[in-house]
Amino acid sequence: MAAECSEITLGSPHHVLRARWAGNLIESANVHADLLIASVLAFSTEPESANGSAATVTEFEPALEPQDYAVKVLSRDAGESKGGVTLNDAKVIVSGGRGVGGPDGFGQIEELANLLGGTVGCSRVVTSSGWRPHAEQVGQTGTKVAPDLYIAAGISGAMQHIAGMKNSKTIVVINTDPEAPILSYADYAIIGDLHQVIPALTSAIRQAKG
Amino acid sequence: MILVLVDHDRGELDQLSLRALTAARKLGQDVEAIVIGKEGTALAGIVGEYGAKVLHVASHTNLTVSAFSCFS
Repeated sequence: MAAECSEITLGSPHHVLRARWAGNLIESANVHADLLIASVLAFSTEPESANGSAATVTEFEPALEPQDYAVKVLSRDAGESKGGVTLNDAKVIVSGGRGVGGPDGFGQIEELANLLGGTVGCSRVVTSSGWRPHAEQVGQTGTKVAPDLYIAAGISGAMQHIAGMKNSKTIVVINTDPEAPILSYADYAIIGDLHQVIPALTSAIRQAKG
Repeated sequence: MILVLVDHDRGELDQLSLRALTAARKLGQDVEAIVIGKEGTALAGIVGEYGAKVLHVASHTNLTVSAFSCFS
């Protein structure tokens, strides 16, 4: 089993390039096996239609034993993002972190996200504090995203968060700390308080939109 | 042959699966897809469009949303 492969070459042995250490390292590895089981690194391949016709469906009944039911769904908490667009589908994501200060602070994040036709994301500290639902968490234990535009406000940039958003095409960082680790991934950075920057940004966008 | 496990939520395809199907196609072999749960039958069109010739549907009374016992 080779997880998070960005490149696979079948052969004897098979060869893979795979992400290790939350994507900070690309490992080149040979896999000595007849059958290669691999997972694909989430955003290493753009989806391209083959214009194929519908697949032929063959249904089969797997043999399941009682011990196979190790996982039970006790309840479902969809925790839907309020934006309507899911993180995976969003072209624009406005993410807030600890710097937002609390659940109320996300009002301005939501406003900016809506204005840009995007959706809200957040860091782990935000979901573990119960400010936002887990469905909005970006990162290694949340959703890995690669939107056209990722705005990170008040997020210092733990490695696990970076792993979930560094493939974004354009990254804008708003942070009071000029030393925040996330800045090394920023295409544009605004060193300032998001509570001032975001309202200013929102009103400027409103004006530009007329 | 490359077999791609495609994921879905109550018959709605996880968009990441289209990337997996595209990656699989690039390996230059026939691509087939497998989906867990009868609701996955609805995906035959889209996985076909992305290059899978066959969609294997693992169908079982305990692998449905309504049974709610194993996966959902």
